[in-house]
Amino acid sequence: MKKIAWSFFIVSSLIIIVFSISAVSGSLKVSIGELVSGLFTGTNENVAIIKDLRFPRLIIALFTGASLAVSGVLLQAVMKNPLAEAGIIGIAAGGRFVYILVISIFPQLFFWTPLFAFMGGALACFLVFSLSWKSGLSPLRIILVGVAINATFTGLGQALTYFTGFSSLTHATVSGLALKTWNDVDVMLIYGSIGLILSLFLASWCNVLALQDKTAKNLGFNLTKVRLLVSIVAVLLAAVATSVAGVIAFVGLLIPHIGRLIVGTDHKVLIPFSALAGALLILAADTLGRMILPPNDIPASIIMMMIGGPFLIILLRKSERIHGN
Amino acid sequence: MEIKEISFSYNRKTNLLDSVNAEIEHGKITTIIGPNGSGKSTLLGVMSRNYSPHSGEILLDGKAISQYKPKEFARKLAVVHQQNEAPWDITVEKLIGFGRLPHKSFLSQNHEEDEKAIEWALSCTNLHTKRKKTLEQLSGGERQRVWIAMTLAQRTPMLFLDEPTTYLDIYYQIEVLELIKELNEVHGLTIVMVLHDINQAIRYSDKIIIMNNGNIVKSGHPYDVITTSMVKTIYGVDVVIQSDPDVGQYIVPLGIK
Repeated sequence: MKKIAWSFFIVSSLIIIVFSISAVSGSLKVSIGELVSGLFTGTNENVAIIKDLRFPRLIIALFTGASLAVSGVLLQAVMKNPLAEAGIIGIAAGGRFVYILVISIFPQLFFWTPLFAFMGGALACFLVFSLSWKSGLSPLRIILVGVAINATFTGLGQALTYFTGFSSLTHATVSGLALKTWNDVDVMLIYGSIGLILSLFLASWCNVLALQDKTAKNLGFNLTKVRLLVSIVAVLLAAVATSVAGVIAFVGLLIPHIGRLIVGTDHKVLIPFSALAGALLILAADTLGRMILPPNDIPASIIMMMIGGPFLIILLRKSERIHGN
Repeated sequence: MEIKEISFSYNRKTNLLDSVNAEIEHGKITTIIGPNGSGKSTLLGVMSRNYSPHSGEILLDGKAISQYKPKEFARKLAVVHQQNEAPWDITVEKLIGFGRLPHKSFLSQNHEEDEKAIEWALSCTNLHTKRKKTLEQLSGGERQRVWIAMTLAQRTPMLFLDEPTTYLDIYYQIEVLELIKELNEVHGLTIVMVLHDINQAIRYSDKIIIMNNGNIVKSGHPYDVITTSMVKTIYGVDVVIQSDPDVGQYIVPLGIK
C-alpha cells in the first residue's frame, strides 16, 4: 500500500514540475514567478500570450495522455490481450477516417468531431470483435484482425487526405498538439472527463474480466453487457484523444504495462494511476519535442514512438509476467 | 435438479449429449464418470448454464434453469472449473471475495454478510493463514482450495466441480476429496462432480452416473454400477473388483486385451 501511495505522489509531483517547466520555456520565456503573478493580475503581456497559446496545448497533452492510457487499460481488460490498444487494433484509425470523411463534407460540424471519431472507433472495435470471435475470444486472432483493420482504416484515411487536401485546410486537427485553442480544450474537457469518470466506475468489472469467461458467468456476471459498456468507454476515450490530438501510438500500450509493474493488476488502482502516468508521459513527450530543436516542433506522437519502442523492449525483457496470469 | 431430454451439440450435426435424462438428488454427492469425450464435462456445463442445450430442459427447484436471472442462478449453484485464470498478484482474500458478486448489486451491499461468508469459506478450506498471500505464492493444492473457497463464498446449496483433482498429486487429490465430503456431510451441500479415477468415484460418491458417447449408460449406487463387464464395455479395460472389509470395493486394472 505504501508503494502505491508513493507512486501516485511521485507521478503527481512530476506532472506539476513538468507542467511548470513546459509553461515557462520555449520561444517565449518567462520566470515561474512572473507566470504566477501574471496569471493573477493579468497585466503581463507575455503571460497572456502563454495563457492563450501554450496552456491549451499543455492541458490537451495531459488529457490526451490520460485518455489514451485508460483506453488501453480498458481494451486490454475487455479483449484479454496485452497488445490491445486503440492505435494498434484500428480504433484510432477508424475514428480518424470517419471524422475526416464527415468534416471534409460538412466543415461546419467541427465541434462534433469527437462524436464522429467515436462512431468510427466504435465501428472498428465492432469489426475487430465480430471478425475475431469464434465461440470465444482468442488473443492472437484479435491482434491479427486488429492489425488488418488498422491498416485498412489508415489507408482509407490517407487516401481521403490526398483527395480532399484535408490536411492543408484544417491542419489544426491533424497536426498533433500544436496550435490548440481554448475551444479545443472545451471539447477535450467535456468528452474526456466523461470518459475518465466512467472508467473509474468500470474498475471492479474489469477485475472480473480477468477471470475466465465461464468463471465470470458462474458468478452471475452478464459478460455481454459488461464487454459492451467497457468497450464503449474505451472507444470514447480513444476517439476524443484522436479527434483533438491526432493518432498517438504506444501510450495505451506502454503506460498500462508500467502501471501493472508498479501498482499491480487491480483496476481500481491501475486505472487512476494509468490516467496520471499517461498524462505525464504525453506532457513530457510534447515538452521534449518543443525543446530539442527550437524553433522546430517535433510532434509528441513521433517522440512517443522513439521513446516507446525501445522502452517497451526493455520492459518486456525485464519482466515476463507484465501482463500474465 | 431434474435433467429432461437434454441434447446439445456445437455444430448441430453430432450430438455431444443425446436426450440425456437424470436426476440429481438433494444433499448427496453425485459423480459423473466416463471415457474422454463421453460428454461428462459437457453435461456439467449444460447443468451449470455454461452451454445452452438445443432441446430439453433442466429444472432446479421446479423452475427451468434458463428462467433464472444470472445472479439468482449464481446464488443457487457454484462451479469449480478444471483450469482457472486469475491475475498473478491477486490475494487469496480478494479472489474469494469475487464469490460475493452474486449477492451484490449496484445499490445494496451487505458488508457484514460478505465478511461472514468469506471467513466461513476460509475456515472450511483451511486457508486462514494464507489470506494475504498472492496466488503465485501458493502450491497447486492450495490454489485449488482457493478456487473452491471462492465458490463457497457464493453460499449456494449446490456445488459443481469439473475434475477437481486432475492436476494435483495424490496428497492434494485426497485433501480436495475429503474437503468435498466434509462440505457435503457437515454443511449439507449437494455435490456434483466429474472424476476420472474410478476408485475415487466409488469411495467418495453416493451415486455414480456413467456416460458414454453422449448418453447416460448407467446410474446408481457405486457398488451397483461399477462392474467388471461395465468397465470392459465402456473403457475397454479388464479389471477385477475386490472388496476389503474396511475400505469397501475397489477395482484393479489388469490389461486392455
